Amino acid sequence: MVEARKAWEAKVAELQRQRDHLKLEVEMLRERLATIRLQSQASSLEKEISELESTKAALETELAGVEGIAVVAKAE
Amino acid sequence: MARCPSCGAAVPTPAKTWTYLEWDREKTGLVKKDVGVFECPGCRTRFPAVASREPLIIVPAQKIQSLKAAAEEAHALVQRLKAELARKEDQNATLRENIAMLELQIQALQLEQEVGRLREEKARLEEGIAAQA
Repeated sequence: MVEARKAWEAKVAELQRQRDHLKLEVEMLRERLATIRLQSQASSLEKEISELESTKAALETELAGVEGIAVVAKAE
Repeated sequence: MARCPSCGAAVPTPAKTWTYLEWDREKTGLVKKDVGVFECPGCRTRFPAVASREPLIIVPAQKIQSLKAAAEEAHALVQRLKAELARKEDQNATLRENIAMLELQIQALQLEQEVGRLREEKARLEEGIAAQA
C-alpha cells in the first residue's frame, strides 16, 4: 500500500512538472505568434502605403499634365 | 500508629495482634478489628490499641456468586469491545489510506487532462506560427 501510494505521489509530481513546463511553452508560443501576426500586419500596411504613394505620384503627374494643357490652351 | 498512654510517644508496630469481629448496631453493622498490644520503646509501658478497623456487609453467598459471574461477564465484554475497537481502528486506517490513494489518482487524472489540453494548444500554436512563416 505504501509503495503504491509513493508511486502515485511520484506520478502526480511528474505530471505537475510537465504541466508547469507546458504552461511556460504555451505562453511563449502565444507571444511569438502575436509578434509574428503584428509583423505581418505591419508588412501589409507598409505595402499598402507604398502602393498608395505610387498611385498618388501617378495621379500628381497626370494632374500636372492636364494643368499644362489647360495653361497652353488659355494662352492661345 | 498508636501513642503510649503514659509518655505519649508514637509506637509504630504492635508486639502482638489478633483479629475479631464486632457487631456495631449504631453504625454499619459488622466491623472487623485488628487489635494489637503495643510496647512503648521509651517507658516500656504495654498497652492495647486498635491497629485497624474495616466495616463489613453480610451478603448471601449466592449473591456474591452472581456478582462475580456478572463481573466476569462484564470483563469478557470489555475484552470483546476492545478487540472490536482495535479491528475498527485498523479498518479506519485502511479506509483513510484508500481515500488518500483515490485523491491522488483523481489529481493525477486531472493533471493528465490538463497536460493533454496544453499539448493540443501547443500544437495549434506551432501550426499557427508555421502558417504565418
